[in-house]
Amino acid sequence: MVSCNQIEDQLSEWIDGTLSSDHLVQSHLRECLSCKRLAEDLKSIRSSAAALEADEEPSAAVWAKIQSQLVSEGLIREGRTGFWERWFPHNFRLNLRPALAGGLISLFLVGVTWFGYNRLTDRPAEMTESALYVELKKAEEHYQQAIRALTDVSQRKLQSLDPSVAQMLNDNLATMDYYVSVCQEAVQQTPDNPMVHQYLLAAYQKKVELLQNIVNSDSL
Amino acid sequence: MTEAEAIKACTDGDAEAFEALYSLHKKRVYSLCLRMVGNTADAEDLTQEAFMQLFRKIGTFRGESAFSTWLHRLTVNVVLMRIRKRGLNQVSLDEEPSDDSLDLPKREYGEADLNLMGTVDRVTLARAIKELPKGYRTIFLLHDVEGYEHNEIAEMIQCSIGNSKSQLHKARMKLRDLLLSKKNRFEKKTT
Repeated sequence: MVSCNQIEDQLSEWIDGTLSSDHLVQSHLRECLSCKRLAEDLKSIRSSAAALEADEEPSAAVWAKIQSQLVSEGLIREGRTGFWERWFPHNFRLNLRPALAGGLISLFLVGVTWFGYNRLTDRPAEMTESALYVELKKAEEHYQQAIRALTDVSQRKLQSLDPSVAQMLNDNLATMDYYVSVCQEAVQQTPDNPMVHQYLLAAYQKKVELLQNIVNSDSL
Repeated sequence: MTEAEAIKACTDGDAEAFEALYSLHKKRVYSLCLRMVGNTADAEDLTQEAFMQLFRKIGTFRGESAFSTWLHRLTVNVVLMRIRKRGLNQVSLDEEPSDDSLDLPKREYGEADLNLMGTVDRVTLARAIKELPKGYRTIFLLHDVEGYEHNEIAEMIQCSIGNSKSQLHKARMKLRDLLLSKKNRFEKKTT
């Protein structure tokens, strides 16, 4: 009779069906309980491994980083729909009722930010590349100023809101900040790519809108 | 958008198509990376790298194999490249490890061994796989989980077919040992 050691060395191949001649293994397994149990276990391990499912999911940050890299490497082409309409999480959007208070400050800030943005979009066709980046930079600065001003007001507002509502708004702000940081990183990596500047401006704009909603949240 | 449409649209730089392909394949790519490297931070990093390589190369996909097979192979290569670069503490694939390094249990032939009785649940197996030395884990995952043949594995990890077979057998034996230990511990606790 063949030894258990010799059989053990052939068991994996026997299980995989790649053993050229298996009659020795088969006859040994009929007589040796120990090897038979080993073979059953190895078979069980093999079949269970094949049935393992790919059920793990990466965090949302992975896709955000891929998006940023796609943009910075110029692999995507801008379509008819805007960046945020395609990629911004749908569940993020708030359906706040029209503001009843705080309108003045918001209108003022919106005016300031849109002034910067419109100057960029209404630029003359013959604008040089360097002038374009100067305008982009100015628009970014306008948004940053508006965000700073609105942040102060919104923080005070958040303290007066129902804790669960405040938490939801804070979560949304954190998400927004993450997207802004991703866009800022893309701008740093490829400062000469106008598309990444456009995405950063769009991110700033969305943050301004969210902050406005918080400031005007009397009607929540 | 179907997979074929998304692949074509990606070559035109369509942002929706990139997202569609990512959504379709993210779980499989990430799960593969996670099993091979064993931690979420590296697995996410490798997932990003695999998809970026995919999107950069997607124009070269000719449809000779299934897209998922192509992506899967690309992901395996990305992971193996990272493992080689980092020189992770893995068992050499070119040498036969000693019994000490493998730490396999000695079977007492002629006695009735403990038996798994076919009860290898998914979670327990996944945990045991994580405990395998990295070299064994790689070959076990590629062969038994991902379904690659020994000749493909030998090519991917640059070892002989014989080594691949030998390492797989030792990996399975080590897994059996780990699973039996877990089973025994569980039974002792419950009695």
